[in-house]
Amino acid sequence: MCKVIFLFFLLWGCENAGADTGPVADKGKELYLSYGCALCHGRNGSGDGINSQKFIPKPTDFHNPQSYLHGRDKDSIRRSIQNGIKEDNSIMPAFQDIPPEELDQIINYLQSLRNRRVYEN
Amino acid sequence: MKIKNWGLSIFVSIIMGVCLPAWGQMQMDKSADMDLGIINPQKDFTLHDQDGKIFHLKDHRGQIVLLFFGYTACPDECPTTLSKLARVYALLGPMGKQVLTVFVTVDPKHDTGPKLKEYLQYFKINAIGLTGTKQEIDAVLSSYKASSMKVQTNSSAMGDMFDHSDYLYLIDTQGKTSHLFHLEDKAQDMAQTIRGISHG
Repeated sequence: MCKVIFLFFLLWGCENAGADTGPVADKGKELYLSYGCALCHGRNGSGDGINSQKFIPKPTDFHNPQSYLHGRDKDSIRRSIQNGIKEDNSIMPAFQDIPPEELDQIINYLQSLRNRRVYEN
Repeated sequence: MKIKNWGLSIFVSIIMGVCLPAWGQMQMDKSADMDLGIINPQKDFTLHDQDGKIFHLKDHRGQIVLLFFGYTACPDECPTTLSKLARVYALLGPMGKQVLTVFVTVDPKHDTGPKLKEYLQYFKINAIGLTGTKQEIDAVLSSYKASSMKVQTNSSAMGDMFDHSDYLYLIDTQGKTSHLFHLEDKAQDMAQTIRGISHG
């Protein structure tokens, strides 16, 4: 039984590894909001931005792992942002002017949202 | 004979490798000059801003203006251009306060003042949204040799969609259109050009 509990916490820790929730994620959120991502993905990253109503599929809800249709590892998210997504009826455009270090901060913030409930405004 | 042929081939390849890109760049430069040349370089206009106030472009002499035609439901050129401008403003730093982005809607039917205002707040830029009657906006489009056309879509859920010019017009402090930015221009280069205008 102890081994099961230990294994559970080990796996839970691995799932959240690298998901920073401190100042780095705050900076990432600031950048996320400054580059217009919230227009479609919502101010809280829930996929409910003011321009999201018309899209099928809906923009990714970064809180929901199932919502990541094109990969949820850092490299997949980076590719989606830089190259856009034009498959599966998605119309996400490419954002190529975000410098690499800021892109990493945004990705870090997005990953910090996974499995977090939305309580903030 | 074989060695001579090889030599000739290498020589021709080198010449083409150097001359063709240079020729291509000349054509692009010519094209940009032609683009600028067809626009009346100093054209004032009057529309209504996002708060319902009258906006005269001539009231903004002394400021650098970045003029863009788009609409809030645009899925690609508009959000990417405005997102790029967020980077441009970050690069400009405090100088960005002297640079006003003017976003003229090509969909006045749906883009009300409040909607424009809300939309532009999603980007960290110094911007104002303008609207007017269709005739007023068409007149401004025409004076800047820009265009916008409603397109049919298969999905009624998408609403009205428009094919529109995606130039970003750099208007200097004298009100003269001095540069056209294209979609593929990089934020760093744009910031550099804007700084150059401000020092000129």
